[in-house]
Amino acid sequence: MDIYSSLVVIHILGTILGVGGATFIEIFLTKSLRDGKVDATEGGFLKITFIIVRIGLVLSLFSGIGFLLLYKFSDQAFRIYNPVLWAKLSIIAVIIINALLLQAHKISLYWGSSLSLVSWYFAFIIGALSQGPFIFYSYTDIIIPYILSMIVGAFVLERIRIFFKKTTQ
Amino acid sequence: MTKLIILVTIHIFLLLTAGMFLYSFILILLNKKGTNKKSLLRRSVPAFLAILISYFIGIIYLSPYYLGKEGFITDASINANIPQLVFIRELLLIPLVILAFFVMISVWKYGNKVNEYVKYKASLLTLSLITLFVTTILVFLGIFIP
Repeated sequence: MDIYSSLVVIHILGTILGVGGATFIEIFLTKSLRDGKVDATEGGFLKITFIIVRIGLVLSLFSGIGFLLLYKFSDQAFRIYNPVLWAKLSIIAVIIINALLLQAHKISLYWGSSLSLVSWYFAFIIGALSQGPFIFYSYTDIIIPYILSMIVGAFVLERIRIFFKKTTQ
Repeated sequence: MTKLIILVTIHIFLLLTAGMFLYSFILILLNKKGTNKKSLLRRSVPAFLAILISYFIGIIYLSPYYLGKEGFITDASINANIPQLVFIRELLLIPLVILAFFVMISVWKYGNKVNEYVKYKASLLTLSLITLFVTTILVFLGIFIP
């Protein structure tokens, strides 16, 4: 297996762990918060899932930087200046900063969970389609739908939480 | 050329590794339940070592520029900006090593008091955030300039 294929495998693995982990954090949170509090068992599951997401982030970051270095060394520097790549990097930066804000309790669950989930799915979609139609998109073509999805996502996730809370009572 | 590629790759990945340890360090510091000296040391020591080794590798791979050799990027418009950027990056590497060292030594000496003194925790957090920010900038500068 050559370097490029290895990087693709690691990057996909990282994305699977990140997207899957972020999805399961939402599922566990919705299930846990039905009674208004997170007990020890539920907290344990959440903790493990957070670790999985962080492993996914590390794998994605390392392989992502690996791709950039590979482009640089193989005289494909033009790929580094692609706005789609910059949009993806901005979304990854949001994931990283959001995790810090959540840990410091400086962001509400309403925005924090949406930022995490929507960002991971957007990064995954951009990555999956970046060799296809997305290659010609501008930075704002991606960031504006991303911000809108985040606002809608926050509202939808909150409604889901309220719905499951009501059905439990 | 291959030797240079390997050196640059190791240099960038070491900085990225340092960034990961610093990020983990900050996450632990932000934990509301508190933390202990051992967990902080387990992250600050590798971060400092990674930055230090990366700095020395940086010196080795940056040296060809001062000998007048060509960079990896062959685009003339990009090459025109290289000397200035290389100079800035090299300047940024020195305070980064000092910052990482200061964070590590501070944890080493006063790490067991981190939960008692809020101001100490806040200053440690600020320092590590600055270190992480500079590390991230250096990773990206390392990709955009040879």
